[in-house]
Amino acid sequence: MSEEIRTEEEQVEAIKNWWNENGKSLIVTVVVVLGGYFGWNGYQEQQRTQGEAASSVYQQLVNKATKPVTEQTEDDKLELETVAAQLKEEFPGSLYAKFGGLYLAKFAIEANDFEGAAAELQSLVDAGDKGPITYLAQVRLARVFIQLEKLDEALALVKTTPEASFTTQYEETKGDVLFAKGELTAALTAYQAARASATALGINTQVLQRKIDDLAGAKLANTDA
Amino acid sequence: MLQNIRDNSQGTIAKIIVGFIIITFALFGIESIVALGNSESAPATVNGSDIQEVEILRLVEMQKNRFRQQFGENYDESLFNEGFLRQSALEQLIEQKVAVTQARELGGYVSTQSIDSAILSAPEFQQDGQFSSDRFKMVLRRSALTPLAYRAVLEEQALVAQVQLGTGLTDTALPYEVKRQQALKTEQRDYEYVIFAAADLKKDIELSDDDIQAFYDANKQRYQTEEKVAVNYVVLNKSDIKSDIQVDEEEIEQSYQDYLDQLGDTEERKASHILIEVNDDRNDDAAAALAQQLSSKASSGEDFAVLAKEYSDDIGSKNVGGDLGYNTRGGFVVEFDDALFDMLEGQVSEPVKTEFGYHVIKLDSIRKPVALSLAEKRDDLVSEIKSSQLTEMFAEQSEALAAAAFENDNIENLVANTDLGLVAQTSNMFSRNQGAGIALNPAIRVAAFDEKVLADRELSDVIEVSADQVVVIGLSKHAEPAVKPLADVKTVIEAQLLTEKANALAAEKAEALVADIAMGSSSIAWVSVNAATYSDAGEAPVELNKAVFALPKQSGEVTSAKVAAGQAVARLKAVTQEDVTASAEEQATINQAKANESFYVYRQWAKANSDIERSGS
Repeated sequence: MSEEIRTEEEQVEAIKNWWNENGKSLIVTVVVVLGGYFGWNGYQEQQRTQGEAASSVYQQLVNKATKPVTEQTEDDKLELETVAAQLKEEFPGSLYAKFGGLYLAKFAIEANDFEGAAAELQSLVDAGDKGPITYLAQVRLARVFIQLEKLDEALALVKTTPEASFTTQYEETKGDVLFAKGELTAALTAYQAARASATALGINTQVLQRKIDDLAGAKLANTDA
Repeated sequence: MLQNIRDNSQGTIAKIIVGFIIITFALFGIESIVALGNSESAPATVNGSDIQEVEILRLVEMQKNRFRQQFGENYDESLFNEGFLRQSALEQLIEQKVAVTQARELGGYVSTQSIDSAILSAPEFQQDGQFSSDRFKMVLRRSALTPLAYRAVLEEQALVAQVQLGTGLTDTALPYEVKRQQALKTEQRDYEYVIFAAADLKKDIELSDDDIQAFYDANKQRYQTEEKVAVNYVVLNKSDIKSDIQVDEEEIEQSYQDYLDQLGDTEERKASHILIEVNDDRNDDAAAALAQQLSSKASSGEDFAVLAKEYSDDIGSKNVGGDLGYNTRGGFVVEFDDALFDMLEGQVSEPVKTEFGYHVIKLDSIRKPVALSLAEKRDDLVSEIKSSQLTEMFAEQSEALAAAAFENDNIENLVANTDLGLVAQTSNMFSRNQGAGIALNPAIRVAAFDEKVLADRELSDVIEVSADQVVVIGLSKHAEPAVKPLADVKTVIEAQLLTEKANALAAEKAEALVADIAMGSSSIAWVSVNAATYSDAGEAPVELNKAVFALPKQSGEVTSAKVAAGQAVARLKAVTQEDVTASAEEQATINQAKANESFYVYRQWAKANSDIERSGS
């Protein structure tokens, strides 16, 4: 406890010493912390500005896209494609770029350009992000592959369902591939799995029911063969 | 000990803590620390975002308003289960929060400009094809929202819609899918069928008393009578109060004065304003200076509308000359109000500071209702005074009745011990859900079956039947629920048993027929169906048709199905599949179904991947 009794001079001296020892690191710490804080804020602000800009462009797209197809002119369609492509180019990696890609795939399907649709969807799948947009793109790509009669590629995409919420879509598509390949028993199993999941989620099952009914003789036929 | 604290507070750790607090304060303000202690639990939390009690209340209120409009005069609040309304409001808010938080998590944004333009172009705020700030304010007031809260609502709606359109509307059916669905839809099947009608089989069935007794014993809970009560009651009517009320001259004078004051309050003032906001580009001083400048300009005769158009930050009014329309006192924030109602007609104010920024106000005109003279108003005033005194007397008597109901334990004593001119009456028997006379009113039924009246045999509280009528009830008779004797329900049981047995017999006959067909021997009168589709079977029962379409596509296949009339058997004759191209309309329906399914699946994903906490309730 001898340190308690000090003269003023000694105290000043002690502070000076302390500053010489720790001053630099203290300043560095404060600068780093403040820099980090403002940097993070700036980053967030920049993300937001970018996001809002992309959102505005996307809003133009959906305003047009929600018009009934029959009322859309050729000019409308051209503009839709331009805006969707703009989203992909100017805001790569953003949610809106992905939506842009999905729209381009849809436009390609509507124009019977299935190779084009496959390319759009493939690039979304290849980006490799885990999440609902990728999962939607993946099952759509499988369906486009069925249309292109690339059945093995299609099957590979829907072999496993990424998350339970997507079971209905993945299993139905799997059923469609197997049906196209002539593997009727396996197709039936997939359709039944799709129906079970659709029922649990409250999705209309009439189409699935018809596909299942249609394969009622499948077991017989297969064992006969 | 104090010395100890002093020593410790100079320790390194203490210094670090104090330093930390200082930095936190400096950077984030005092809220950051206060907020830590203020963790009152929200009714639910979704992905870390709280759902507030007031949001639930607002939604419940909106739902009630909807019912009120729907049912009009028949609306009765007590018919709605508050807990149920609350629960469904909460679930709705959770769905909404899930959609919003997930949309943000995915990287969704909405820009301020797009919300502005959404407000300006929304049809509900338009008048004569133009945005009207009066309408905007009125609509918002009706739904109890501030402009800021309303913007937040719009932002969330836009965000959710963007994701919905991105996940759903981007999907469409592929040609092979349309072709297959179309093939399944137009597939035709020819078959023949027969129905074993239960009704025809009933005459062959004999029921024994033992059967009936056994069924009765097994299903006793189905044959309970309802619990019923009858009540004794008294009614206090406002209209029964003897009104020999005298009104003296002084009272009339006073209420005439009140009338004049009130008239002053309903004065309406038409104002225009220019709003100068304090924002990122303009600090408080600059805003004040600009407002001052505009005030001088307008005072010295420059066109107010032109200035508003050029400078005002109020997007709602700037293009209509800053016009805010007529408003009574209390229509604006208090500073604005005070300034406006202190101005002369045509005057332009000095800048007025409010929470929104600086306003330069111009009082365009004043509208004041014309006052009636005392002689003209006299009769109205006298009847008003009488009616308010009557209401007061009625309230006093109701209170006296409440006290008496508390002190007495039955209606007879209540009547004997009070001098309110009450008459004891008795109701007929009624149940919880249904009654006549006084028991038509649900509030009476609720009180009659309440523990206080039914179990404790006390008198009820004063029940307000209407604004002018109150009732007190006490139990008169109570009938417990009981099982009806067999004799009373015998015919019902017979009918039920007969139907069950006839159906079982029909099923047996159908089974026998199926077996006969398999053996190759059947001589039955078939009904033929030609070219049935899955959704159109003509006369044949729907359930049977579905079963037929689930048969393997081979002539001679047999199926049996339960139908409304009994049991049916069908034998497939032929299956036809033709390529029928889908019409544009059919194609659109299939596309739409795909889009809906995609969005639905996304929503399921969003919910499954959300962290939803419900606290109690």
